[in-house]
Amino acid sequence: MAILLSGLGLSLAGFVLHVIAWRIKPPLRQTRGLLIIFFGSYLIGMLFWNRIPGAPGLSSFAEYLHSFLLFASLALGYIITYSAIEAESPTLTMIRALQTRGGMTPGEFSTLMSDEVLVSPRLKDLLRDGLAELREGRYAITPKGARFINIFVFYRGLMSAPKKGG
Amino acid sequence: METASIISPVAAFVLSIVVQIQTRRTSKGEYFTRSFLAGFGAGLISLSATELGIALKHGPDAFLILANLITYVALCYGYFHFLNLGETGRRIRLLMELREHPEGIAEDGILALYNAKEIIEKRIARLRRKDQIILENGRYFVAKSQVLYMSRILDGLKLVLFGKR
Repeated sequence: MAILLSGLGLSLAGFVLHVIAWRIKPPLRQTRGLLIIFFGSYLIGMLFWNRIPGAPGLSSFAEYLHSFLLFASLALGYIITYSAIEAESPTLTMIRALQTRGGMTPGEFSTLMSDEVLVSPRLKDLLRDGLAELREGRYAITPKGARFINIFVFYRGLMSAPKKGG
Repeated sequence: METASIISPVAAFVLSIVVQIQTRRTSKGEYFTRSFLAGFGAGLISLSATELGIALKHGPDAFLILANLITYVALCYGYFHFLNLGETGRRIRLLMELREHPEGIAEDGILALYNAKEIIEKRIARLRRKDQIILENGRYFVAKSQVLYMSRILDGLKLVLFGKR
């Protein structure tokens, strides 16, 4: 019970702190902010877990590890979901617009979502996150960006998936 | 018992990845969702078998079984989003284009390779393939509700986080 309660409880604590922080002001680098908040609250929570009155205590290293595994899977699952909020998924925007307007032509989609809405902000994100840099007005991949994208290139190759998604 | 119980969801997750990759390879890179579901199902069977074995040997612990089930589902959920990112992520696609042009590309050049038109067309094709939208008299309409529900969940989350949608 201690593993389940600590894993779930500290995930919830991380989420509450995240809501409070975002209500005050979302950080510029939101994924990093989420990682710090969630894993920071877990670490701090774990220091005091066994002192919380009535909370079932964790005793062995294996129990701490088990609790961490549950917590980390939930926290990372949430953080990866958050990317859909941060970068406003085009698919969800399209579905929302279809529902609101009660049907749309292909041309109306193009009016709603231009290059300025769909592509340019994502290029700015790459610069902000240090995955790309501007060299004499040209966007170029950085070593950090290359390391990051190589994971996806390798993985898509492994699955025999088409080289490029999007 | 403790070690077996920790390994159980991780081993099931690893199995689900292996089955997912193999299924996708067999379909020559097609079957994005089906390969994920095949992996998820295989992992779930493995998890159930391991948890049953642990319960028979040490006695059932419903809280541990629930913790492992949540861990497994959360790991698979995160993995699905990782796969989806490679499939649909715009930043990923842009980085792939930049990777092929290490000398750099101007924004106009990038837009010639990847633009709003392609993004919209690909999404319309995916949504139609999954019967989420239908085309009637030259207009698209929402047909099924799964993506719509997902959109409402994210709208709700935005409301909680930012106080607005």
